[in-house]
Amino acid sequence: MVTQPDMRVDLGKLVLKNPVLAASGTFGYGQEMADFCDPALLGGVVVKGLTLEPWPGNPPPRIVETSAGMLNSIGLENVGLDVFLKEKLPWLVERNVTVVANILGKTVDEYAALAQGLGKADGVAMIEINVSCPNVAAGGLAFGTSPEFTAQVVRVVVQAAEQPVMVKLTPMVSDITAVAEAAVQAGADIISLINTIPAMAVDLENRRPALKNVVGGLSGPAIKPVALRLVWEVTRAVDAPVIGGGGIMTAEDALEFLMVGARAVQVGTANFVDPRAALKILEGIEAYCKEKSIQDLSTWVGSLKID
Amino acid sequence: MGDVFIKNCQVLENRQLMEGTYLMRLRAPEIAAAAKPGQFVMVRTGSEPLEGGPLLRRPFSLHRLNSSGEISLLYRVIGVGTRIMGGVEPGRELEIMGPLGRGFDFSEAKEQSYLVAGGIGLAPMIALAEAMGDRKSKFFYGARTSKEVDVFLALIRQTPYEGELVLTSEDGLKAAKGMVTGPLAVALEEEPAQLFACGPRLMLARVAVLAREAGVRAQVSLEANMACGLGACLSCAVERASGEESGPVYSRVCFEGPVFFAEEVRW
Ligand SMILES: Cc1cc2nc3c(=O)[nH]c(=O)nc-3n(C[C@H](O)[C@H](O)[C@H](O)COP(=O)(O)OP(=O)(O)OC[C@H]3O[C@@H](n4cnc5c(N)ncnc54)[C@H](O)[C@@H]3O)c2cc1C
Ligand SMILES: Cc1cc2nc3c(=O)[nH]c(=O)nc-3n(C[C@H](O)[C@H](O)[C@H](O)COP(=O)(O)O)c2cc1C
Ligand code: FES
Repeated sequence: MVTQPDMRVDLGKLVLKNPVLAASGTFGYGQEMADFCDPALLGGVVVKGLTLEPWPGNPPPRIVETSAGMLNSIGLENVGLDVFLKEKLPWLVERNVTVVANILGKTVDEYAALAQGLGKADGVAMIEINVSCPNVAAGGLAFGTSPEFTAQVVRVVVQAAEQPVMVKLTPMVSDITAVAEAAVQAGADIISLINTIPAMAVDLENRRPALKNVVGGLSGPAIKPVALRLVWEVTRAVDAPVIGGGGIMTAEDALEFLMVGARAVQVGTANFVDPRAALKILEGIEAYCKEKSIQDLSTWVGSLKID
Repeated sequence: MGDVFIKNCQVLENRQLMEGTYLMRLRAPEIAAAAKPGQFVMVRTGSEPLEGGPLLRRPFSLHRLNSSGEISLLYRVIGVGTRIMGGVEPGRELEIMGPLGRGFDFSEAKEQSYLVAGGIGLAPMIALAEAMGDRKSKFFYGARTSKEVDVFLALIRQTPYEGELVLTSEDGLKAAKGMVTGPLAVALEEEPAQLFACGPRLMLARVAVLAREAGVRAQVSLEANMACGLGACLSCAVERASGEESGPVYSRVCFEGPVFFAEEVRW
């Protein structure tokens, strides 16, 4: 007899109903995708990166498709903390969505202020610190490439926040375990990775960069092998739970990340290819568990065999 | 948003009208019933149901909508996605998402309207012409070649459109030589009328100026690189003519557009 597999994810201070989250910036504020993907069915929705004040974002063109992936230089266009709390969050809370707020500050103080503002809000399950956005001049990557700066940001956010704190790492470092360890020592509850990889494309005909911002972040299937390796390294280096992502398009991709050691996954670019992708991945994982008689998905986590 | 669908739609016809320009007819009852002129669909050209191909869906205006559950796309082959589309045999299915975005608002179009199209920007303007019914209008079409003029005439004659046709072509064969905005400017001087337009960005920018000078409103259909088509990713930004000191403000072509009032856009 096939029983319903236990898909819950224990993240320490928080238990997710299942291991599939929508990645920040690829799912709007949840509502945009709701015609095709009920956000309440997902393990969580990481909303578009938030800043204290609204940000306009970068001039277009902001995206371009590349081999097995895409570049984006959205530039963190977002409504800002206040509008998020007043106009976007209630819709998510009403529907019982597990909301993860992705935050980005230009300074350490701004990160703290964001965490404080979100701490008071009912319905934000977790905070994801974005120290890895390649598309902003200040903050983001500038913090994430240094273990010390990362730790500084984590410390103030952990202090100000009421919720569990997750840190999203950039792949743009020579030793990711150093950044991960610094983040955990500074109090981070969870590590997520990877953010996009800074990259470039040119328009030969026009002799122009394909993006107005010249460079952008690479995402999609092209980055999956890079992400898998980094997730593997981080899960071996820290005890804190890890949420992995980068190029996940199918349930098989997600199962690979889990096998390598991630407890949950973030699905990003796949949502553009098909707004039902995150749900399909979730269903696929469940079907796989049934087929392989995996009763508790957590036993699959980190089950990679290395001879 | 309302009714948006993702459907596997059977290709009924996929015909080359001239070098690099195709007309695709698809069976898409739900989309056809929900769509308005100026709205668009996103076509999946990669992975299942077709093998290989690119990642992101490609946006196309609805070129014809009819009550018998069909839609048509009029498209030009540009790169990998449209090349794949050009090779799709009738009988196969394509996964289509739509209808998307905000279309033309022609509820106020009573006295006289000018429909303006340049090049492949013709696609949504035929749907609009068809929907105008017996409202008074003129159709201005700017072609590059005389072949394009022939294609236009064949397409418009399939519709019950009865308005006057004003044609230009860059080669000056079978139509007045020059840009379509030339005769449009003359017409606006003689009889100001509201404008509906789709075409190259430069043409639309000129239309915006002409509309302002004539004191009429213009609705223009814009293009932008898109990822989600649903308003989630903020890829498809167009700068608004906000007139504020506080810096640029962007709208989403896929959501607030693709049809904008010309005065809303920073050209
Ligand atoms: C709302 C809207 C309606 C459109 N309607 C039509 C139509 O009715 N007929 C038609 O022929 N074309 C139309 N286009 C343009 C059409 O989407 C592009 O020609 C097509 O995406 C090119 O894809 P490709 O893979 O062949 O080209 P590639 O150059 O290989 O595409 C690379 C990437 O750039 C994007 N891209 C390239 N050109 C454009 C463009 N002009 N606009 C937006 N994205 C682009 C592609 O979608 C893809 O993501 C429309 C675009 C928009 C935004
Ligand atoms: C259009 C776009 C916007 C993004 N915006 C954000 C963002 O605001 N904050 C953030 O932390 N990551 C952002 N990301 C990164 C994704 O959340 C994800 O980490 C990355 O795309 C890798 O996963 P994927 O290959 O599945 O897309 C964005 C990615 C894309 C493609
Ligand atoms: S294409 Fe994603 S917001 Fe317009």
